[in-house]
Amino acid sequence: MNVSSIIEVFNDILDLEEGQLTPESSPIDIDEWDSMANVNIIVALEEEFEIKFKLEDILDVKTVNDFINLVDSYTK
Amino acid sequence: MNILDYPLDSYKILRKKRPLKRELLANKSFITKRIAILGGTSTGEIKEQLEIFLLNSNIRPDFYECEYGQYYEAVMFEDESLKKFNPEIIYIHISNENLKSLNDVDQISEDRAKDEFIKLEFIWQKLSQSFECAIIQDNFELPSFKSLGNFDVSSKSSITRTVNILNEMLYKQAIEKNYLYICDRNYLSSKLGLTNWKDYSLWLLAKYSLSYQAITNICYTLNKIIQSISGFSKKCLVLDLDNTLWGGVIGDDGVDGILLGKESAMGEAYLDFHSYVKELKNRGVILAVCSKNDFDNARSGFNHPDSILKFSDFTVFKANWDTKTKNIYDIAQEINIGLDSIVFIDDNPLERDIVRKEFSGVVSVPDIGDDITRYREILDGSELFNITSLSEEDKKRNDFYKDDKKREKTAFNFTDYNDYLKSLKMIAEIGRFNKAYLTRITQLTNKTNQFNLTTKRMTEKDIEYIMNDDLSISLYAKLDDKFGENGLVSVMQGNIKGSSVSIDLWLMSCRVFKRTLEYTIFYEFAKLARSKNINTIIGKYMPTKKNKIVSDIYKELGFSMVDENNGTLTFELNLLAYEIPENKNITLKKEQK
Repeated sequence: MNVSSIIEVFNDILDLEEGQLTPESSPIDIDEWDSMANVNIIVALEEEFEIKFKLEDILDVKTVNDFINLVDSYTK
Repeated sequence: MNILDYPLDSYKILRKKRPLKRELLANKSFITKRIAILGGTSTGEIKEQLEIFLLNSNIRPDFYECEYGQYYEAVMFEDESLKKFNPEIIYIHISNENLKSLNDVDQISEDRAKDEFIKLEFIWQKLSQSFECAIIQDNFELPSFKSLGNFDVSSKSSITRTVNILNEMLYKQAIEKNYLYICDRNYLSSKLGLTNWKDYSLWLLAKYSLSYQAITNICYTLNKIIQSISGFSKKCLVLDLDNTLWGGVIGDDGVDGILLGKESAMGEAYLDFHSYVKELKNRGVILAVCSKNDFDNARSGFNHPDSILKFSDFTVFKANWDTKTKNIYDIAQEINIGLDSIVFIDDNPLERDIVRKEFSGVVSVPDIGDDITRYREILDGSELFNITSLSEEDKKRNDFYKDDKKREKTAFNFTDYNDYLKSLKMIAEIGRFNKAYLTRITQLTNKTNQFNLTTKRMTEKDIEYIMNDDLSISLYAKLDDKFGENGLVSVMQGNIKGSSVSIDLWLMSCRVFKRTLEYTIFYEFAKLARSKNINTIIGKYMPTKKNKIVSDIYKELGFSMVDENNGTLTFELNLLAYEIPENKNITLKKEQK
């Protein structure tokens, strides 16, 4: 799994410049990251890595790091 | 933009949505539309993707969204903000999840469908009373799950049958109500497959009744419906020949050597494409050829005994060695349509690319690839010739333009244009708006860009209102001549205020430019105004990129300019001092009752 391609997904969906997002970023720090954008991120990550998250796994995901770890667990 | 063309890559669009929007907003000029989305399920993503497609079609939407799931309440309790918003188009996005009676096992399907139908009918009625708007209603997809299994399709009390019956009830209403349009969700769901159409996790997580792939597809279709309501449909299909309408190269292989006909698998595929193109022609799409070929060689291809398309099916036939862009430009000129009404089909990616770049965002160039087995599917899926109603005029359009070409040829034989006009033996029928012509009049107001003084777009409801308004003078004109009928081609409408009448709508189809019909309809308008004791006629010219042709018409008619405001010119004519002339080139026929 490639962390930078996850970050790219975030940057595209949230329309951010490179470097604006850190692994610790969460919806609290980023204005564009509202609940609708959160759904977009989930769908985009599923498409990008050709995976399908279990519902229970995506309910508590908060930070960029959480997403990285989650994708990691699906692509191992 | 290529990424927004069929076949759609939903994921790419999702990723690039925001930069796409920025890019589209920067590059174009738009018309605006106020669109209300009334959802029974989540609509946020639908709004965002629909916006991208609309912007790409030069339509800039203002959106209203009701509170989540409150489509019924927003209408029932006359939501104030919806009222204020005053939508031009309302999209009712509801799905099986909103049908309370769908799973009511105690009722037979007929009764379940009726329960739901009554609710919808109420909504449409209420909306159409409150707003002058078009309503786009989703139909319903088949159920994803059937506890009755296969038997569900034919059980007295089943979900499948309820959906089918309800859908049929919607279609009947859409035929009757000219403001109601169906978004064929049912078809799209079969095309994508129900398993791709829905995403159950997404439903639980965010209450979307569709998967993201489905959302992209439904937004594509919605955009086409809205384009069509707004008068932006394509009119003319321009086709390449070699490896597009037959396999092989006619110049090398000859008529006996090309692949066309049921004798070979490839030949049959080309034949099927012929049939599809012919169907388009029969419903009013103008056909033209644009091919790098020797003219006689090119023409001979249609002498192939199996060819379904004939040489005479094409209104314009360009087979020469000029560039395709020049030929396409000439085709548009000869038929007298805008380049934005043209769809170009060519198997050669290079030619497609050149045309796409040269006429960027104007001529539509579907990416049909170079595999004949996919041409039909991609052209059909692109929904470029989407229409929302089919008028008799549409079916006849090819003939109209053909007649036009005959006329042009005759014109060459005259040195005096007036002699030519007289020789046409033109007969005009001028009458007040009536119900039979509602569809055509509406269509004209939405399609006419050149001879159009105010470029006001109207819905059928607007026209119907005008028709019944005592303070309105409304006239249509039909024009026949010795070569054939042109149908209903011009509309003029004014609003009376005290002793003056202001012309709010005046337009004429390009089909009859330079035939002096504009004078005849104006003179009739003036007579009618005089009979209503009008003293002053006020005319406005609102300039657009396309209507320069009419910038001087009021001056020509003897009006004086009285005001200029933001480019809009206002003219007045003192009717008391005006002697209404007669246009001797056109004979008037009495209005048919």
